[in-house]
Amino acid sequence: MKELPLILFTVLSQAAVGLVAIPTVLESLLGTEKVAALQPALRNVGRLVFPLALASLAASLWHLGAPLGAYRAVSNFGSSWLAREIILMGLFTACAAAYSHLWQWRPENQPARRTVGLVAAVVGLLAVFATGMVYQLPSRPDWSHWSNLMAGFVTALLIGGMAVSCAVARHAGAPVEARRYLGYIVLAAAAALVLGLAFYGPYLTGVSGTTTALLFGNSWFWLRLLVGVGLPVWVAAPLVKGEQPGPVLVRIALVAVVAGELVGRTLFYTSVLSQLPLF
Amino acid sequence: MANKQLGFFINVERCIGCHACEVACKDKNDLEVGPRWRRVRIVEGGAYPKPFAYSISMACNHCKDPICVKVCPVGAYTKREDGLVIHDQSRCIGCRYCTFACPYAAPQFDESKGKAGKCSGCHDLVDKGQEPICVQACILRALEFGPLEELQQKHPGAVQSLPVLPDPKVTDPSVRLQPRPEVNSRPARIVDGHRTRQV
Repeated sequence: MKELPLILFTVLSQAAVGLVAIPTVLESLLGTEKVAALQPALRNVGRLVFPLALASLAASLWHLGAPLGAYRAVSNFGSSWLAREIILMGLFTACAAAYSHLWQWRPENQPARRTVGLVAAVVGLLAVFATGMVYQLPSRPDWSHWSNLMAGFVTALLIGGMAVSCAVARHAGAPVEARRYLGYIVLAAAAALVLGLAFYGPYLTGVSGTTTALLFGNSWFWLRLLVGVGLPVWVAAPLVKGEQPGPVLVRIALVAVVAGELVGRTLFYTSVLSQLPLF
Repeated sequence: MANKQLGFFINVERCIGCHACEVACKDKNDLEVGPRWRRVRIVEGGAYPKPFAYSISMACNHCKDPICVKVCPVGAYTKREDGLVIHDQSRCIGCRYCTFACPYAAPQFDESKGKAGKCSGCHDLVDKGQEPICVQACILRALEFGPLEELQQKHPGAVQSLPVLPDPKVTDPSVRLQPRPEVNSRPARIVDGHRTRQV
């Protein structure tokens, strides 16, 4: 599949952003004592950020026909959202390296970690926005909808939320508030995804019947919604109440959400690109 | 000729779909199997007793507002003073973003080179005062090239777009087409080489 590098690049980079943003938010919302109780769980997540960001950059290089010239891809940042995305993703990867380094070697240095995490989260979220803007093309109305701009943030929150929930589920000492916040994050992301699709469906029908059929007529689309969104919601419901769902169920939901995002992104690319050239 | 937007005139009424322009373009630019910088597409429709078919030969339209220039991350595309949009393959990194963005699919990815490529309006020939190779090759004189204003004056019935073509508002293509009556009828399919797309 030609689009596989793009699918991996976008999903992995957005997952990495979620894995920085959510622990940073949790650390900011909880008091020092509760953060200390959560630290062993968050450490496992924090160490994953840099490898994920690095893997996403490798996937983006794999996509190029002439990867040795990749360094030139920043030169047209004045008008190209792709150049802006590359700059921001590069900066995010550098921040991710510092963030994972702090979790690995200086887990006790919470102030430094919070500062680096905050910078990484802001840069990462800007990079996710840039990725969304890359596909807001006037020549591709099938893609140019706000729900597709939002999709990257949804991926970051869904994968990030489930990954942190998974780590928290393994540590009995995690505070109840952390579980509640994670439940709200996952539910909000799932609601945003469904709401976006509720608006995108009628919009896309008016733009292209072929793309509508390729996307909404595909059984993988509905399977993704059922498993990749339904299962995380199933797990988030007890989290919101402060209860801890079974660790095995949380792990299964994490696998489901990652698979769901990969399927969703595959459909995003193939439903439009398989039709090109339109003329 | 400087500072005047150059463009192509395509006489859809006259074109018989012989593909001579396409072959001449491939030959001059030494293109591998796959990329066709000028493509002749056959638009078919209607039913007995009134079936119709017509050909549209189209390459890069050297748009006034070229989206490829805007979106290319490495700045491989430039618009010359005469309006021709040139792609510098030595700068291209093969990200394919231009192939997603151009409504006319003018930039095409060449698997053998790992880079995109497109019609340059034969600017090397144009700089010598000659016409692009496709125009020279057309046996029916269905293709013309020159300042867009002059082409429009010469062919007052020419239009910038046809119902079957992408919305010209997106890039303001520097092209004029001489339509034929069937262009307003809803086509059934577009045949592009070995690919047939139902409309």
